[in-house]
Amino acid sequence: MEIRTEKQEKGAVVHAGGRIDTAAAPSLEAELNRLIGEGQRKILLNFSNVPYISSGGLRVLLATAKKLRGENDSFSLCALNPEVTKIMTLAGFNTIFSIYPTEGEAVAKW
Amino acid sequence: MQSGNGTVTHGCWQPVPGEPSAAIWPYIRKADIVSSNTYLIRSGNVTLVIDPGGLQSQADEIAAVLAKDATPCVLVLLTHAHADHFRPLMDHPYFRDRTRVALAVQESGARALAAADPLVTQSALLEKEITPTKTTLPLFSESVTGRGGMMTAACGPAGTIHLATTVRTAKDGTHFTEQVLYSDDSCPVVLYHTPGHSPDSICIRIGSLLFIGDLLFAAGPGVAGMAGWNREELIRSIDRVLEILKEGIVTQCMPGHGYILSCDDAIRTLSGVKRDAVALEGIEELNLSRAKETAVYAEGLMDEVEEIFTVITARLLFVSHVLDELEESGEAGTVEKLIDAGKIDDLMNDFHRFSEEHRAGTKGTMQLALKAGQIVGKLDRMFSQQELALVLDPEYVRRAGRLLLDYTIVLRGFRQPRMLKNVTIGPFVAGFVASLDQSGNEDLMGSADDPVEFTRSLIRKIARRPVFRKVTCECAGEVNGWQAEIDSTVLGDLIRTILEDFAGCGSGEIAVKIASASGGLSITIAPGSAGIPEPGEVRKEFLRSECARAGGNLRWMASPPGIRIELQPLPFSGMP
Repeated sequence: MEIRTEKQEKGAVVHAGGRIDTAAAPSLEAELNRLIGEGQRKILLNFSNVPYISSGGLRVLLATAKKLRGENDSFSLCALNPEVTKIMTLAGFNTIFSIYPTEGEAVAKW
Repeated sequence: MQSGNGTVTHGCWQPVPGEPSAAIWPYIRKADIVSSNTYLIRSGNVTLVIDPGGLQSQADEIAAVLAKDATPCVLVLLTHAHADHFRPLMDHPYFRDRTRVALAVQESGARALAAADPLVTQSALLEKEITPTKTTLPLFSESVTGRGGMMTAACGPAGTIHLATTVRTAKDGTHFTEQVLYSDDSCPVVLYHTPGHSPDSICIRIGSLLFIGDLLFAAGPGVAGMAGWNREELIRSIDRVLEILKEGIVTQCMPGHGYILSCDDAIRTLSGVKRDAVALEGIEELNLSRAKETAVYAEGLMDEVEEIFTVITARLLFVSHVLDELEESGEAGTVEKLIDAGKIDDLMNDFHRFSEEHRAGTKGTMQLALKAGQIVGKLDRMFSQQELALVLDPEYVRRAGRLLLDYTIVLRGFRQPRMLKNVTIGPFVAGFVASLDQSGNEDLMGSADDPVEFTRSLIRKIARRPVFRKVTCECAGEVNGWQAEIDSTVLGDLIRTILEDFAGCGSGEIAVKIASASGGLSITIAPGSAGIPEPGEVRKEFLRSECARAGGNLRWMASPPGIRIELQPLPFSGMP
């Protein structure tokens, strides 16, 4: 999978590309951990190029959400395609993560 | 590569067990439908090539061995004329020269090769082109079967081979024809005509080795029902081969695909093949058209299966996470272990890679259908409906199990079962929609005094959080009492799938309406908000086939957006 990180004034936007499954999840996790290690406390995952996420990918999102649960922290997702939205909704993850339709709407909440 | 019992080994010359004057050089492949195993047998001035296979690289390797250890007489002997067993005869420079390499195959196979018959040779099913090929020595020809006699044919530039035919009597009193192939200084090669997998299938005994072609796979998915396949003949041939195996001469069985078996293992396996064959009464013919139909169905079904299993594993992860937050980490671990999410992920990735290769043209249609069968089989083995249904919505788990079973049935050559009944549609759909809302089903207060039961209820409460809170159902007065012939389980699953598509995309309130439409009966499912994405063609085709099986037709409506299931009402006195 392809990962591109864009640092903004208040936080970082991680653009993921491709299926996020057990094989791809470790590279996403490494990038998220690297950003947290650098001191980033506001991270947005842009999913506009993610066609599918498996439980292996969701596990990484949960682990990241646990690390960013401080008062001024933020971990959110945006631009989910219908298939990913459906999996999030049917599995219940829409109640755990903050999910926004667009990057602009998500960043505006920082 | 070892042969499986350590006796005969891939890729080197070794004595033939039970026939010390002969040597064998086996080329053993992991079983697939692309190419068979090849066995070289050298005895006196003859080298036999049993099934040169279906791959150029394999033929190159075999030809190199033959060139190095040449005998004056090289005879290709086919266990049957299917393209994955003989392809180098047409397109390989070493094998296509009939003055150098002679060919022996049962007479009907010889006719198919001479005519380059795409059906009998399975070249159409394997999507490979073949050209006509002449046979040097037709086996079990009509002129000798049941009578006996002797034939001689030229083999290579300097050799001759003989074929002696005798008629024998089986234990049950029936007569059968046996042939023995030999040259002046080679060991005898005993041939048995064993039709069923194909009309021209033969088994070959040399020393204590029995070469059995594709007999082990003849009742398997993707094989049974091929052009020329005959269930009754197959059962008779299996009985005949079991009899040969029980005579005590044969020690190892050399299959056309996959690893070598001991005689005892072959008896057990063939007995299982016979049981499968007995159960295959009424299967459909397996041709390219059905293979394509099955592959299209496989792609749609695998999309659906991937989604269901992703939701199942994700929901278990969600439950585990919530339990962890509630400091119930022991229970969280137990819930996560209900299914191996990583293995499911790997299986789905494997299928995705295979599908991409199929789309790129490097994998055939039949291969895709069989790959889906392999994945479905593995999922089925690692999926305990009973255990998962204790935690998750049992209907969701049941639907996953049904899809896996459906594909197995289709791949084996049967139509999906349809349990059609006359059903009054209004109450059925209304009852179904009402049953979807499970909020508040778990009585946490009632189980508060029992810690074990409380934890179970809590897990179910978390796991079964409803996704269908905003579905309304309305039945128009004019269709009250209208009945249709439907498979209610499949129709219920289809309605639920559509509702999940809408609810999963956050469509808001979903309206289900039962009404009359163009003289028929329709169930319209409409999302509350516009902008529900239209599914791709693969998914559309899958949903259409599910709807047809349920007893209806499926239509997508653009304005207002929604999906309509059209049913044919049964005539009754209340109809206009």
